[in-house]
Amino acid sequence: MKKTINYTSRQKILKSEVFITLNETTTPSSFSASFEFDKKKKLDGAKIYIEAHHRETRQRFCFGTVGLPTVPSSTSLDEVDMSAPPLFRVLIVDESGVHGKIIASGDQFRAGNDPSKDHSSRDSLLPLRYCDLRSRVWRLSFESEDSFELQLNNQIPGLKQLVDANPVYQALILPAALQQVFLYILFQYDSLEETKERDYFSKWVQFGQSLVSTSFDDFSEHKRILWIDDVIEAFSAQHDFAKKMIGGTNE
Amino acid sequence: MSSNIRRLNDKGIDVFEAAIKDERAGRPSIDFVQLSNHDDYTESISSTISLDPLRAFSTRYEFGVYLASKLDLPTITPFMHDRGFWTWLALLYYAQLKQPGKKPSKPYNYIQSNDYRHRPRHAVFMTWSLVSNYGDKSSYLLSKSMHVRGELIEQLMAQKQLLTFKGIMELSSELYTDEAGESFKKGSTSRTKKGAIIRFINWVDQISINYDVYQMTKAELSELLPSEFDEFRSKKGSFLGRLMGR
Repeated sequence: MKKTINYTSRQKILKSEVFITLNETTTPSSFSASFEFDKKKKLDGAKIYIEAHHRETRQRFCFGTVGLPTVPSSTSLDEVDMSAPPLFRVLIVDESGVHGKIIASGDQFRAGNDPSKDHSSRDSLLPLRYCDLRSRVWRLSFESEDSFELQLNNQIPGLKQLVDANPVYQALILPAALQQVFLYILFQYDSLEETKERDYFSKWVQFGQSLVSTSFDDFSEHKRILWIDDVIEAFSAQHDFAKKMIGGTNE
Repeated sequence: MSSNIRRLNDKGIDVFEAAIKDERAGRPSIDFVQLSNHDDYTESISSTISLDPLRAFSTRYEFGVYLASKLDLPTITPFMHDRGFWTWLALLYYAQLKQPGKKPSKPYNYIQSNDYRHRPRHAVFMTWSLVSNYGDKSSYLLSKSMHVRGELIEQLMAQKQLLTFKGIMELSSELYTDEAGESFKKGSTSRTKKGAIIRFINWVDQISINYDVYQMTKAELSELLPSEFDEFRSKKGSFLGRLMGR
């Protein structure tokens, strides 16, 4: 059984405890947040901070205390690079001592995670975005180390619907995108253990391992490529891409 | 001579990038000055700010001071995250940002990259960011010639959140700036020496787990600094360095 030792006693804020809504109708965009912290965590007197971040930009907002949350006078995201939706980090800080201590935190929260609304890509490993890709149909964006993005060209009429419903588009885009993700992650590191340093990368490796029975202790280049190939094969088989494509083209 | 600030459009960025690649490959390139003013490849932005493209800078810090004095925040806020804008600025000073008589560095030094690993390497954006945020406290990071990015900045800016930690940036300036206030202390960039910048970055990573570093002042952080940094706390520049004004 896997054993985790938490030396810091810092608690984890779950996505189910914080609901963030991005308002893109204002200029600059702003956001609102509401909280449902687990009472067992006993965080009451500590301050709540939310940091919106993208690339090297970061903007922080104070939302009062866990016991008595307040709304900041402004939540305008005027210091954050908004070329893509920002991610949010939530910090619970005990400021009763000389130095503020982080007693709980959660990162990589996306706006629109209100469970009362339908958000199919809420915890998606590979969020979709529609943007102008000029001559390309799709591309994978590695711009943020916290979350990659599958981008589709919004200049192509109906592409969104085609990718959602047409197996030919899915078969041509998704396995190729996945292969790029795994190649990117597995060639950043010298050992599988090292990928665990980044939660996002680690989730991808777990996803890959859930598809194939093989794990690899030997991290040689050859083994990595074979493993990625197995994962793509298993993913394609799971979705029956070849069969669906035959059906799709015959329709 | 002065040029009103502009931005490169997508086509202009592509042409600039291709021209840099040509130069790196030893192929004939283009007239970069013409590109910076070409209406097909650049766009005017509604600003009266003008820059002197022929002005020579002895260090990146001097360049940063000039940019920070010219590019006031209200005017450039809409372009803060516009790669066409920052890339145009690199194009304007391209001749100085590459080593004279040598091939240029990799394109991401001039073309602002979308890749998070390369963004801190942009010659203009990072220089402007450091000087406009930290003023003379950033001089030790930008003390080399225009075409040199420098090892120290490379190590420090690899951690993208550091730039937003005011206390950390001020403390690192206090630790590593030499006595003349113009460069960094000897040993700062060592990969093995105790208290060198790489150890400082590791220490920041470590304390960020428990402490709210974002809000901490330089004095508060200094209290937590381990003794291995004592040498840099007190170390003055060498006698020879002081004599030569380094």
